[in-house]
Amino acid sequence: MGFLGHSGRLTLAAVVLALGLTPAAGEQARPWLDPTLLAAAQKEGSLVVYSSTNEREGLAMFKLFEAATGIKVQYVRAADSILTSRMMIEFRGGKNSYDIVHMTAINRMPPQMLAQYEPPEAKSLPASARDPDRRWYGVYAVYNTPAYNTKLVKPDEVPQSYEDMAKLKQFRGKIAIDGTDSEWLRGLVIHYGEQKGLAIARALAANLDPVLTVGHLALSRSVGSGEYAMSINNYTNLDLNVKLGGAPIESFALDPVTQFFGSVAVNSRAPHPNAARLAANFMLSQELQQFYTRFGRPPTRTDVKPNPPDSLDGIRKRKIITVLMSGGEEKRWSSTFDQIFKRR
Amino acid sequence: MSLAQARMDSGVGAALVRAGALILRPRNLALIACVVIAGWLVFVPLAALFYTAFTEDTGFGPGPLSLGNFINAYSNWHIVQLFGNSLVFAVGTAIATLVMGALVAFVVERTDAPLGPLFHALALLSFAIPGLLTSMAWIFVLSPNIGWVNALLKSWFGLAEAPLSIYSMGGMIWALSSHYFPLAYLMLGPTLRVLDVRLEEAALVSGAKYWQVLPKITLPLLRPAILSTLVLLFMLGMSSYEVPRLIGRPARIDVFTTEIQAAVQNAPPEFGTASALGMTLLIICVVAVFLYRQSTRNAEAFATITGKGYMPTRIKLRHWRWPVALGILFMFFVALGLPLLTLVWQSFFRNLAQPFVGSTGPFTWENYEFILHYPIFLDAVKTSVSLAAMSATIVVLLTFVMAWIAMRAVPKAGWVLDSIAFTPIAMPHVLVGAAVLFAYLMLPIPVYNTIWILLIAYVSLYIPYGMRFTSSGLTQIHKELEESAEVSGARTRQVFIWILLPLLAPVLLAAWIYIFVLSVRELGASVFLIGPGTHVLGTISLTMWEEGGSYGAVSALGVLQIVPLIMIVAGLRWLELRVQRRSEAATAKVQTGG
Repeated sequence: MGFLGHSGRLTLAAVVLALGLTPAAGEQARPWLDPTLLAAAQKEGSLVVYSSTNEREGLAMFKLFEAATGIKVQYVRAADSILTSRMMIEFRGGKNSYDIVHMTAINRMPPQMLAQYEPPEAKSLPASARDPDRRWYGVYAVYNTPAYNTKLVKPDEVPQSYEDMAKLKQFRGKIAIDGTDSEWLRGLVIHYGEQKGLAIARALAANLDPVLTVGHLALSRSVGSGEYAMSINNYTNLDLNVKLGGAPIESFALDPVTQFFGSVAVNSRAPHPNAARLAANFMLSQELQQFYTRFGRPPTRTDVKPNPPDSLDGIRKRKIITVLMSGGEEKRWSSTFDQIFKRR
Repeated sequence: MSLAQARMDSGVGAALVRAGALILRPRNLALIACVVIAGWLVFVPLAALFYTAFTEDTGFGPGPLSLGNFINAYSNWHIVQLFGNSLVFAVGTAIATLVMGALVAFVVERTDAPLGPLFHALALLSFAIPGLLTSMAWIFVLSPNIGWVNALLKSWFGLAEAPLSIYSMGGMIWALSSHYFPLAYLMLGPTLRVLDVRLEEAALVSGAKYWQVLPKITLPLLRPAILSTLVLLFMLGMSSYEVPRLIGRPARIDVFTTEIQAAVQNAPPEFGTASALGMTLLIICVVAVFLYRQSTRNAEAFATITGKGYMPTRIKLRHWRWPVALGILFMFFVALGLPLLTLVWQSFFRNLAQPFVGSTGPFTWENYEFILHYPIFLDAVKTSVSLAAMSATIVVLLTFVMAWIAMRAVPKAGWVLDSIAFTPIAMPHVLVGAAVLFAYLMLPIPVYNTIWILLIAYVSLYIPYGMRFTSSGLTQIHKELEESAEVSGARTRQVFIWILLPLLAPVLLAAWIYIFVLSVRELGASVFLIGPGTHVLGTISLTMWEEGGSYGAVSALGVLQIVPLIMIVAGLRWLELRVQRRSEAATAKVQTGG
């Protein structure tokens, strides 16, 4: 994510300015900056963030927070699985290292590790992006859609449904999917029902013989480079970023579009609880989510436009299904995915 | 109490007092301390592996005793196929790597072919390229769809299909062998350098041809070094991860480590299953070391540095000098030059750019700007270099002592120490990282979120490499040299400093350089152990790959890692040459009794 070129950045800046979404200035009101919470947080002095967002975006994001609050931020980046394991081992060991966590697998964490807290800015989120138990909140949306290489696939070959995609035998062996896309499979089943959904998945596996890759960004790059003609599923914003970098890749939406979130939660044993709450509120603010759209991440707030503004038009015409699995559900659907695509 | 009982008691007591006095001697205390430190560093990840494998995986850590992880890991017949693939991959890699490395070592150390120093420098250079990038580069070179060599061959010969494919077992073996053959060269080179040629000369004088001398005399003398190298290469193949991930998975060739990594990549990770799978690698590792020790138990027969005088000579190739040198240079070009050229070329383009074929965008310096302005890049460089220097120094010193203990002090039980020291190589780095994290969160040692926890993990990971280098080198030194010194009144410390260190200096320095470069690139354990302010280059590479960079940015990061490493390695090479000359002088002095 987030490797827009110089021309890409110029385009983005122009779009941002055209839409009147100027970067936050020092004098601008900050509705997320609760004065009482700020005073308490400043006494704590610092904030530790565990996040799966790369440092280029994450540190830039938290520089805004530091500038507004004077609270020093320490940022640790790792993949979702590593962070989850690290936090769980810390929890068992009674160690309290981090204040907030920001990643896509928060919904799979044991609830006792996350504090129940409802940031005031959360009221601007749709219900699907809020945990009913008030432990996590979506900061950006992750949409799951296929993509194709525009030099290898003609426009009339682009399928209109997953059932159509399963008939594209001319691309057999030249189509790929990430080996961890259990959310996508679950979304397919929710939309079509278990019998039909699994039948479609089996047809895709049997007819297309897709290659299983490791890493969603790697898959976007591979489709953009022509290693594969098409991806059965990937993260839309990654494909968009690769496209904005000049690669001949185009994502397109089919029913259903599975959605989950990059979320934020407060550690139930946060060493700096007030700073943690303030930071959680910051991450749900319009200021932060507008900033995040510079890197192509679709916002969850309904009052923030995506970037580019039309990037979600195709997705919004389709049936969007939010899939947020617990650890146990994820294990079940991963196993089903492996049986279908890895044939085990 | 009877007189006999009293005598027995006083005998037992006296024996205990003597044993205590023996242990408390400074030399023995120092040796015991080394073994305890090294043993602790290896014990922690090993103990964690056993503990997590044999207990229920609760997500928060190990629960009650259970065999459930083994049932999860081994209850599918697919595991047999994984095991078979892993064996083929590891054996193929070990043999191919050994042949290539041995060829270079022989030409450089035993012949008068020119360009030897260049080959040595190129060998060291290859370690500077991270495994993830080497695999990516080979895809750009030999992928049937986007590989530029295939594109050139198709256009030159009018082929409809690409003639070569990296996505095959052969491609996987080639990708790993081309990366590791310099290691085989570094391990075999010093041994060949000090080989006692009198046995070969005697055979040649008696009428044997060189092609008869090689298998009957030279290779048997090299058996410990060859076997030591093979054991290491085999285990590297079994535990390799980047090649199976990037090349094996699209080729539909899954291996053991693919399954281990899949278990770890779930959120939350399944450490119990991963550890149960890791036990198989551990058993293979122990068996490999045992077989190695069995086959080299008559160590004196392989000693080539003895108390008798000798002078290493080189085979004169005459008119074959330059053709042989150019042949080796071509091998380096194909194995090292092609991926490096591809990476450098790619670093100047955002998207896929094929050398000599075409690119999808303009030439740009943007990728380098992106990396150099990456927020934590410079901090990561400083941390990685510091960690690498510290871990290489500690590992070399520790394993120097441990190898001596295993081969000289307690030779009959030495294989136990050797196996223990070697076991971390069987553990995927990510499991070692998780084990160190788990252990040091439990222990009252405040190293979590500091550079010291990373250092502990790195030393644990690289003890096996140090052990292989030092034990291989020590095998070539006959113990009569130390015995002569001890008989003449030298203490153990003096034997280490004045006899062993000068003779082993080239091997120790080669080990230091190799471990330094590996540490700079380390990734698997670091992902668990980095904290605020302790970022390393390996984790930045992973971030670029997973969610932060284009092909160009990832390549630029690789090139930026290689360049300073080249400079560091060049400096170390200059030092190595000085040490080597002094070692040769020391050897000659020992042999002539001067």
